[in-house]
Amino acid sequence: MSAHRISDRVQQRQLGPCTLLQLPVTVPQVVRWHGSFASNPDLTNGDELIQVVLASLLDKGTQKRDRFELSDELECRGAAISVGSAGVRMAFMGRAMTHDVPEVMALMAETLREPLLDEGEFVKVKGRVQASVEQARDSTAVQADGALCRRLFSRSHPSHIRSVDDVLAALDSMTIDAVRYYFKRHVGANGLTLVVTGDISMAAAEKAVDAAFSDWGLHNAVQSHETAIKPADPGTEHVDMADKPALDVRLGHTVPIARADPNWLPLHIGSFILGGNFSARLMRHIRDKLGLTYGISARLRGMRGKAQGYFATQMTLSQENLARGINEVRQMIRAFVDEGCSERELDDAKTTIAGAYEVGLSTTSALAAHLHNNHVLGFPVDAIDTYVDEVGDLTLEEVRDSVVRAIRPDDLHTVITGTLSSDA
Amino acid sequence: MAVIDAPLMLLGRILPLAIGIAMVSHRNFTFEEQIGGIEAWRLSSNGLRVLIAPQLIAPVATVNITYLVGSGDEQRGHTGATHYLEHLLFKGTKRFNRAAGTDLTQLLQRVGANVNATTSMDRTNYFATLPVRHLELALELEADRMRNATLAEADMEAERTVILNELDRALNDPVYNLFREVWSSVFTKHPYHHPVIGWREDVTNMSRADLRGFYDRFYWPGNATVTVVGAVEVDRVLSLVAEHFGPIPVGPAGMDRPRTPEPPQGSEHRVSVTGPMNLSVQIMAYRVCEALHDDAPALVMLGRILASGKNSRLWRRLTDSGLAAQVSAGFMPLRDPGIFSLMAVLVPGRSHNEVEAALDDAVREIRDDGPAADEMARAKAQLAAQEAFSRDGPYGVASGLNESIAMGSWQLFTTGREQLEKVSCEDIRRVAQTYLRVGQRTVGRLSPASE
Repeated sequence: MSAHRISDRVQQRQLGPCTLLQLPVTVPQVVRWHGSFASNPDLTNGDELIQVVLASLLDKGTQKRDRFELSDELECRGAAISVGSAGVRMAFMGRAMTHDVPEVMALMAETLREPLLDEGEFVKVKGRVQASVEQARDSTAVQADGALCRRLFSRSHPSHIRSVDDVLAALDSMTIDAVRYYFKRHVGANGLTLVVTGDISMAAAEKAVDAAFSDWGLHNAVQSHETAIKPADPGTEHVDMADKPALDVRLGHTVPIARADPNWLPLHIGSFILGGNFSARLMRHIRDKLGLTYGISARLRGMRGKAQGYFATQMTLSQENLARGINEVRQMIRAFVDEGCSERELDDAKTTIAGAYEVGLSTTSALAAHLHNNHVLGFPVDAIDTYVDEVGDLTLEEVRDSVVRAIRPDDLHTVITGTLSSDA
Repeated sequence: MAVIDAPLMLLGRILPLAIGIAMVSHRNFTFEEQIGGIEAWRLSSNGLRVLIAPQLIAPVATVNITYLVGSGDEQRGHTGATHYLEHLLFKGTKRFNRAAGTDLTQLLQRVGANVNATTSMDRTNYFATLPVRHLELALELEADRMRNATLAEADMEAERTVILNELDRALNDPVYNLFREVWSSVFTKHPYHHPVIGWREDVTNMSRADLRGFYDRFYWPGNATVTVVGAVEVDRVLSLVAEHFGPIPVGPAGMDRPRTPEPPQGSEHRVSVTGPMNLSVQIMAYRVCEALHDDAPALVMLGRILASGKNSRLWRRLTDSGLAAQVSAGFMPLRDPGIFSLMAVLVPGRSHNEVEAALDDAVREIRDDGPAADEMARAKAQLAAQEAFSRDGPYGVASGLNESIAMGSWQLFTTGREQLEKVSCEDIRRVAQTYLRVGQRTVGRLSPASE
């Protein structure tokens, strides 16, 4: 990577509250951007659901134009913008042809700063969110993730996932006034970061972003969510779902490490060796050798921003293979912690992660996302280039130590979702 | 290793390139043509076709090999063979195998490649996106498994469990089940009738001889296209392809592909699926033409006008009015005549009859009046932007070419946009009147059992 440093081409400007990073990429006419700001929801108050509804409402019209005019402005250019809830931040993305960037960036700002928040639209959005939640109720994978996270995290932690019934009840009682209040309290330029990549000059990007965001004010909400985790007693939970003979299974426990922690990288590589891809230990043994599952993985999850997260394996099992499958996975995790990985496995993982990282930077969208995420984490701009070297410099001892410290086989929680037969 | 079944098939992905590249000569190849920045070559020794599209975003390349064999080439009793074989082609060859620590997945993933394969109705493809310095590795491995797969009995048995697990997972998805029922009702004789993954009984009974026969029939250079996209030089790609694919023999002459044509439908079909889920979905699937038919571009455009964006007709009529949470419409371009489908996920509390009436109204309007000029302009602008964004990364280009190859013409990837530009409002009205008729549709409903 050092011969072609991406960071050497990145330019940075501070435009009022907005930190703008720009990277030119030669894909004719293509420009993309990724941005976000800190919204600081009060998770114990159920703000994350209000934030989801608000994000869906933002592109349903502004103070200046109704939803159809807004859509028409985008569709007639083949452009797209979107806003999403991203835990304790709100994220926004866009794409446009080069010559349309000023107009589309202005529309992006208009949706964020001057939304209509119409009551009629609110009712429709609630209906759509309700339908998607009902759809999730029928997914063994979604239910398994949710049940595990409820076991591991308190309501005020960003990785907590509320139950379907909780979400539906909260949706039912939510009012447009609550959403409007949340918008006033939590939407503003706090920690605003915007990365623009593609066929555009810094001057053009700066002009468009300056006009759109440099005079955006701050909100007054402060961070209230927990970032640390609390230990929870391990146990087994079965979520019964009718007519789901294929069972989803999760084994997991909390890990007191955040993404920016120096221990994250060795542990990430250790988890990767265990269950990161088709060549990982779990896949080769549980799927390839024993044929017990279509797919199995193990990885660190939920380590967004400053929040600590968890380690989890995920797999599907048939009824007859349930007990054996879980037992085999537990044994493999224990053996991995006890014996550690080999030098060969570490070398392979380093090569894989470094190569995959390069592959993952092969689109303008991916470049924007990487630069954005690094900035939000507080990493320097050249982190996009130095990551590969940091991976290469890791030693076997560092990886083994991180695994022994962080992965605790006796603390694994087990969650099974689906229809259990009496035999299973 | 995935099934690209009817519900997942990309609709109307016809996207050109505009990258200037220099054509070179090569002693082992015959140059065929260059369109939209893509060069087509034919390996002289065995007829293998090679498509090359240089692209300079990152030091990365995608290698894709498309075999013209899909579930549409399977006979009853042997359904799922294409997909089963796709799984087994990751199990190793005499040269590259797990026992030696050199199986394909291991070697490619070790260098950071995104590696996988998919099976659909008309094709099977294997692909890897990887740092370009490892390009030769990807080509060498693909060449090796074209004729040297071990297809061991033990691997076959282990993989049977995996595939049955995959099948069970699919059956857990009620929307997948609805699509399967609709698909099987639309096609009663043609092999598009059966699911790409196969019927459970056929997968359970599949023998090694079945798969060996399938492999020996379809996995030859003359039935394959190698596509390379990324930071590559044409001459080097050709040299590597010649080195690794050149020694493979031509294979048997001719390739028998009996596909029973689907007889005329005659009257509307209706299917329903129920389950313990609080989810209701309505599908209306109309029988239409094949991908290379003259009407195909108008059907692609029709799908966009009906359901692409918040100003589209179905969005306004169903989503905006609170009838549906999601709507979609599109032409599924296949080698043989396929379907044009409308789909709506109902908002809880709304009825199938309400949604069907709204869909019927939308169909009636477009049949009677055709689209407005501004709808056409918007659809064409969207396609222009889609063209540009499709070039963002080598995998997208390789994937688009793969689908065009399956439809019967890789050139469609580069010429499709031009065809779409020529579509008129009258063309849209004409194809709507020709195909969107009650007597040639299948209506599918997914409802909670409690209803």
